[in-house]
Amino acid sequence: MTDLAGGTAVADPMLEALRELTGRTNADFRPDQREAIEALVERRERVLVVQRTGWGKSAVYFLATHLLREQGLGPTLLISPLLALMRNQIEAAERLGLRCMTVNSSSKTTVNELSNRLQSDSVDLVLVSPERLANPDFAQQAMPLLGSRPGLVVIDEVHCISDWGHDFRPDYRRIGRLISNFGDGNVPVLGCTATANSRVVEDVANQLGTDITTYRGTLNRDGLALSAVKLSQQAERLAWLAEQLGSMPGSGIIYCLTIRDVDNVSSWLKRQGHDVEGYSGATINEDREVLEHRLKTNDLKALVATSALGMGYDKPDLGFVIHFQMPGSPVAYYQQVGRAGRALDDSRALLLCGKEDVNIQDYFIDQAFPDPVDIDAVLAVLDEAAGPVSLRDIASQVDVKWAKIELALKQLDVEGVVRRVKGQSYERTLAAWAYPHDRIQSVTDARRFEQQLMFDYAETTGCRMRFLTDLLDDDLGQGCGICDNCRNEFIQPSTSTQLIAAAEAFLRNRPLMIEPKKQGIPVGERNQEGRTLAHWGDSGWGPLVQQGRRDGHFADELVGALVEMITEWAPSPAPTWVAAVPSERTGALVPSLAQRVAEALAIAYVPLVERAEQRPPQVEMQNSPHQAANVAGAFTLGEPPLSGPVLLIDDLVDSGWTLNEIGRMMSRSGSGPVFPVVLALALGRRA
Amino acid sequence: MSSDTHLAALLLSNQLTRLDVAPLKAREFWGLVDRTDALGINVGALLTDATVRAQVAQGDVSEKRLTGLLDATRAFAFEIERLSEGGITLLSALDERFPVLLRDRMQHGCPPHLFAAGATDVLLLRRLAIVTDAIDDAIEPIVRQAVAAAVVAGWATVVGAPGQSGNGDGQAIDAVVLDESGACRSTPIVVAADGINRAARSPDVRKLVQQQALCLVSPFVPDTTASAATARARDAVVHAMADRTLVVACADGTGPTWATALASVEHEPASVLSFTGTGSRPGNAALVGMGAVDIDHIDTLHNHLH
Repeated sequence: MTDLAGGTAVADPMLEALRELTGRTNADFRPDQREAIEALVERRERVLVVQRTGWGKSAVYFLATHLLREQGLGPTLLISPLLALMRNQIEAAERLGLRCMTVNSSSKTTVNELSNRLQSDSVDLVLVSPERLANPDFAQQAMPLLGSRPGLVVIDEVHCISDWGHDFRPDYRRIGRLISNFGDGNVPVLGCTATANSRVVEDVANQLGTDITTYRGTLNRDGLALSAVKLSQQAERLAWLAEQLGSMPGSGIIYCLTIRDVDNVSSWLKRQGHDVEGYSGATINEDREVLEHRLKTNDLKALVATSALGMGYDKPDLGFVIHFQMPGSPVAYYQQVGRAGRALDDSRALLLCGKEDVNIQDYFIDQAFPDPVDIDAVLAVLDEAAGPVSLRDIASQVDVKWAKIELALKQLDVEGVVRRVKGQSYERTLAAWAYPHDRIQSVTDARRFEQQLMFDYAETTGCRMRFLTDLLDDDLGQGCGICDNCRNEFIQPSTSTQLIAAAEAFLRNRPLMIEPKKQGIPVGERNQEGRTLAHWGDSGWGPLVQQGRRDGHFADELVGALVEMITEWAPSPAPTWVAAVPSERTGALVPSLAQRVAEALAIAYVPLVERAEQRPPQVEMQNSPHQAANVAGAFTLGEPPLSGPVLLIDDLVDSGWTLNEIGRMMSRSGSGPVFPVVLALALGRRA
Repeated sequence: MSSDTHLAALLLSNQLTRLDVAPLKAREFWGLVDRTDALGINVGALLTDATVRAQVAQGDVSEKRLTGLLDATRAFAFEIERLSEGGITLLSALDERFPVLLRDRMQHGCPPHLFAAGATDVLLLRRLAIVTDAIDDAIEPIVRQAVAAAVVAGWATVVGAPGQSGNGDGQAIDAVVLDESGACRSTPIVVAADGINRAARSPDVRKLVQQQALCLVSPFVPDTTASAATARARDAVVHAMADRTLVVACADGTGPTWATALASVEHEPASVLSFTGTGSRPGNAALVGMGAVDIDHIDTLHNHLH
């Protein structure tokens, strides 16, 4: 046998390969790594690896792939939800000489290219996202080629395959069926996770084949000091972060539950002089790479991120992880804080709990599965159709939000009830189906239980690390000795009332942009970019907007805030008059607001928009075709508009179709550019 | 029959996956089956034994072609899985549920496999096919009575379905048979002129299949669109898979109903029951003249369903 450099025979080719992979001449296997590789390569077993983050799971499948390919076996199929975050590992694999191809929504590789490479046997490792398994082209072209000569199947984050896992994903349900068709069903399979308790392990084993070898390591994180504190108001937490961030060791991550919170926290901390950036699902791929690199090289104090940054991100010297809000389960929490301090003697994980946490978590739990009513509505359209129906046509026939239609179709596709044909069209199959009420209820119950456990974690007076490892069925034995409870040293809230007041003011002054609708609207009839003062649920102006709607009169403070926002924004060309969106339900509320804004800006208020007929509240419409149809023809102009630029004022905006419709009418009738201005974004608010 | 036998049979005629070699046509498939039978070899042995492949290879059915087809196991398995998820079963001609009559009568012209969905168990029952040139006010009650007679006798009815796109032919007998079967709570077998995925685009058919109130069958690749050729092939399958075929109305000497009925009468006259009562057409009497069983009154049909 030759070594990787093509030199002379070596005593331990597996160790040589590890050293090549890591780029370190003194690298050695961690406990269970060698055993797992041997099980896969020599005995072609099914292996489940439950090891903490940083243990080296990727080394196992890269080395196994390398050795299996040397034996003349086919390529490895790696299924991972984290491909975008695997750039570092792929570079390491390429050092080992592995030829990798990634096929996911952000890669440029086409299924045809992959198929050609598979046919010419010039690819060693194929990395796909679980969602890609559902793609018709991938399933029909690439999968048969992979399945006809498989070397190894790797399922990263394998806990996602289990209903009981905290991060269950519908697309993972295909995997069990898929591997039964690989290599007569006896292909070696490696499942990897850092977070699986005994129940999840059992479930995974059932789906991958009961004859499975599990390598389970200790999940305790030496040197990671856990602590938690309840700071109900966001302003309190922002003040605390502004005061304490500088004293945190090295660079770290601040996790938030929503993109809006990422934006708020990162903007606030920047304003307070901290070197931070935001990172979320809304961050484009190119920027993500740059931000990950900056954090890795300690060029940032922190990334403020949603869970989009987490699994798969590799920074051994991450100094701290702070949660601005509480995640939905202790297992998810463990996974996120587990990224800290893998190569450090000391690191910190702090949980800040707020009063909004439960509402956000409830939202995620409620949205996890499609509602039976929504799924029935979508299915009814397909049931009656004599052929494929596009997503857009489905949306035009059912008043269900796009995201919920997509969620319903995904579930139905995974279950074989509908099939996706070319593009974004679906058709009903011949398979009978009934909504799996029992399964969904049991999973939802499990999520509620996890949510409660997270509250228990926040309030426990015992060792926090033991609390987490107990949940993962790993016996820590004695306490960690370094968490706040073990040391009896607790986080102290900020005592700076000035800083808290500044944070409150900051939260109140966070205008949001209103993007003009463009699709199907001539350029000359489109609104200009607009602004909203606040988010309906924000702790800034949100409560005052809600109060004003209840009272039938908006406070002068809100008018002043609107005027200040418009003045700072300075739309160009400068508006010369103001119009209002009329409402049967709220009467003079909005016209009065518009009039007061006009007076404050010293420009004209022209009450020219009138309701042509009463329609259901726009907030009751669930998707854009219904929202657009609901406002079409609902308004008239009582008189011709002025020709100058105009501020079009409303109290709430949801889909934006009302502003769009009125703006179009005014533009067609000769007004100047229309700038929407709204008090609060009420996206998703129920009527 | 072992699962290897079914798998080998399906792989040899596999049109579901893209391969470098052509799938065996019906006559090639059955010729190969004959040769394995003659050698006392199970078709399933072809999957693993290269020497067997060499033994049975002949002419265009070369060893290389056999190997190319039989080695596509995994690719084929994925397609089968996808079909199965969508409620479709692929029956090889060597499967117990595959209608023996179809195989015996069509010989080397028998499709090597059928795509089936819904209540496939009814394929194990005795079967009455009902065919007609057209449906009108006089014919419709005859068809309904025929369905009822089959139900009373414990037989399944077999009927051809027109293409979903309107290609192939203009029959509408399937709608009457489905309606009457629903009224009688029986489960008919519908043979499609389309591939099964296209046939499934009819919402009515789809619902009945999902409710296990219908067995939908097609010999064609799932996304095939009906044509005159597939309609002829479907008619042949309808006749061949039925123990008896009732010809309700048939023009004399012309049209697909006549052509298929004539072929059946020539091959097995006792299997063709020709209705000659009110509403029948000149072809019905002509078929009787050529040996078909005369059903001069529909009430007498049950005498022939035993």
